[in-house]
Amino acid sequence: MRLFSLIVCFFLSLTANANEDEVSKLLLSEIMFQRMQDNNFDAITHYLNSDDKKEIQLNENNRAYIASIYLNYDLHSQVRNMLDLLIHNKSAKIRDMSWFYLGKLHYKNKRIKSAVDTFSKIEGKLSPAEQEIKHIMYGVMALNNANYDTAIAEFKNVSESSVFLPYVKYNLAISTVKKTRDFGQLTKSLTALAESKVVDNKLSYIFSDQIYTTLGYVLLQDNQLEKAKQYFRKVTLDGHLATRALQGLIYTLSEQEQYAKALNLSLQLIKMTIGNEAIHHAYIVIPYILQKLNDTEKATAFYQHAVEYFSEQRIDLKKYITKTKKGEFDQYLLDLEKIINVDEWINDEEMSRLFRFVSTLDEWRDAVYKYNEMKYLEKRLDDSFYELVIIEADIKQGNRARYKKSLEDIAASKKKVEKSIVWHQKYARHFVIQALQSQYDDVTDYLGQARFALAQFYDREEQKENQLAIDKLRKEEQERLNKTQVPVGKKQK
Amino acid sequence: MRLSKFKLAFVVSCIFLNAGYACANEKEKQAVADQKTKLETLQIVKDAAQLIEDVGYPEESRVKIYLSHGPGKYFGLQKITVLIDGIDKSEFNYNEKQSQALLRGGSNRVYLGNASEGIHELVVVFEGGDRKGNIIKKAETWLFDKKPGEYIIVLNVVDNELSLRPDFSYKIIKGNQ
Repeated sequence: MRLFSLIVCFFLSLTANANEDEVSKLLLSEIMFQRMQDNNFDAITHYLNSDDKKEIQLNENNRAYIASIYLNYDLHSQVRNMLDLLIHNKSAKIRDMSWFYLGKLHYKNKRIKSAVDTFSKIEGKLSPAEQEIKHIMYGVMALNNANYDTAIAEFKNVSESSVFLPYVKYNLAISTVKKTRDFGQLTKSLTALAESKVVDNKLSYIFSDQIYTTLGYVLLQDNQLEKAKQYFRKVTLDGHLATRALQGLIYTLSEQEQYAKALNLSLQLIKMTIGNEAIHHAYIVIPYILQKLNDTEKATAFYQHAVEYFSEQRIDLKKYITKTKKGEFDQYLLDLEKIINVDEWINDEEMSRLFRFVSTLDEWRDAVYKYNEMKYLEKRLDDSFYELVIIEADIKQGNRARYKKSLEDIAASKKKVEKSIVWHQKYARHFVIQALQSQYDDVTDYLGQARFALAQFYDREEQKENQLAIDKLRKEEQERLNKTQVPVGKKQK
Repeated sequence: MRLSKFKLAFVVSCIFLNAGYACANEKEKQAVADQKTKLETLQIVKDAAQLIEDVGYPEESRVKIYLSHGPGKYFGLQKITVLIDGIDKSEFNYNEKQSQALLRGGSNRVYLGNASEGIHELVVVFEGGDRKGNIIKKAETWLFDKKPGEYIIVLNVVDNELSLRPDFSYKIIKGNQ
């Protein structure tokens, strides 16, 4: 009888284990569902919830997966905690995977030396995908450290079937030219890349525009003017490099002495609403072209126009700086939704100018990202607060303390989140002001150039007029002298 | 004592370098504080969710229903409707990203509710399309006998290689002992 009970208990425990295993797998796949939507916050709370209830059993692979979620959510101490357990694992495969993630963590934190040291601890072979990422990271690190030989070797290790191949080839071409200064080779590599189908079909226009613009300028420098024009024309007209490409095209046409076409394009360029370096430059180039076309009158008028334009720009920029300092642009410059949907509001000239000025700053992007991350935390805390308030009536005595603690914790955490929001707001604003100030300095520089050119122009005109006046006077004097002079052979009376 | 121009420039540059360093240092401090705040918030939101679940859906009567999808060769799910005893209803519409997450092995909790002990009717309507763009709408009805304790039910959508159509099934993975 006792033996029978033992057998029954054994089978029951087997069933229970089987069920626990199924529940654990299910909960892990629910975490995956959140993670695959880039919803790291919910993926982690689901994990913490299941871990609290001891419903989830983590094997080495799953532990590494959870560590990767923490890594994506920038919770580095948690990643370390999880991986520290794994780097001493008996299995070399698990150890290698852990070193790989740890290396990635250092790379993400821009701790290049630590990243290289960590990657070097990998004993065996990583999976092809991990191997590929490792080569790319090594390549980029080497390129940033001006170690071009290593960068070239690493980029060459990436397989031809990689989805990152266009990016790798671009970086390989840049590393090669930095090492050899062989622009001919760079032209060949970039042309091959630009002509490949993948650039046309699969790449985002942001990257393909970068390839076409770089190639255009390289060809222009190499005096292959027709080819340069061809690539400048491929750049998307509403893309972020449109003005740079148009500027390149204007240079190329000027080199070919096709001044009328260059003038036409320059006039189009300054009509674009986005005020940037290329447009400022066009204001200086146009009167130069007009002079080449011997239209002195229009050239003078345009220099005058340029002086007015730059003066207005300076006033506008001062205004933006003041408004930014007062926080009047925060609603646009810190709102991730607005930034993602920039095309919907970029027609607003004031906003577009401002956005273009600052969107290239890494520090600003970082600050905006962190600001929005904190805003999200604030929202989640608010949501939890209201959900708790709704169930207040149902809270029984046993859960009163939990309820009270939850509300207190939310209030305390919200204070910290709000403090952080203000910090990131100020930090982002600081970079916007810095960028605007730099633009202001550039415009001041251009204004000086335009004024100087105009002064030179007037100077030349004045000199010409003076010369004409002198010539006229001389002529008159000569005529007078001729009249008063006694002809040879006649005697004065 | 008068400072030479060089010394003056050196002192001034040191002041500015220190200002830069202080800024970087402040950023580092803020990053550490942010990590702490994030961890705390995750814990607090998790605790609040647990409390809400414990209060609103006591373990004795709690029923959770999850959806799990196979590779989706013959069917792509767009919407699911869950109905218990014809009253308690839950709907879920899947966007492209969510559909992909399901097809790649993710599971989604589609229902959280309460059920008393005894027999209950579970009706699930699966809506989606096949590869040819035909709309497929399929309703399945199952009965389950609820015992005390938490119930976890998994709805499975799998490809049937023989009929070249999707199969819909359900399984109780917790609470059926």
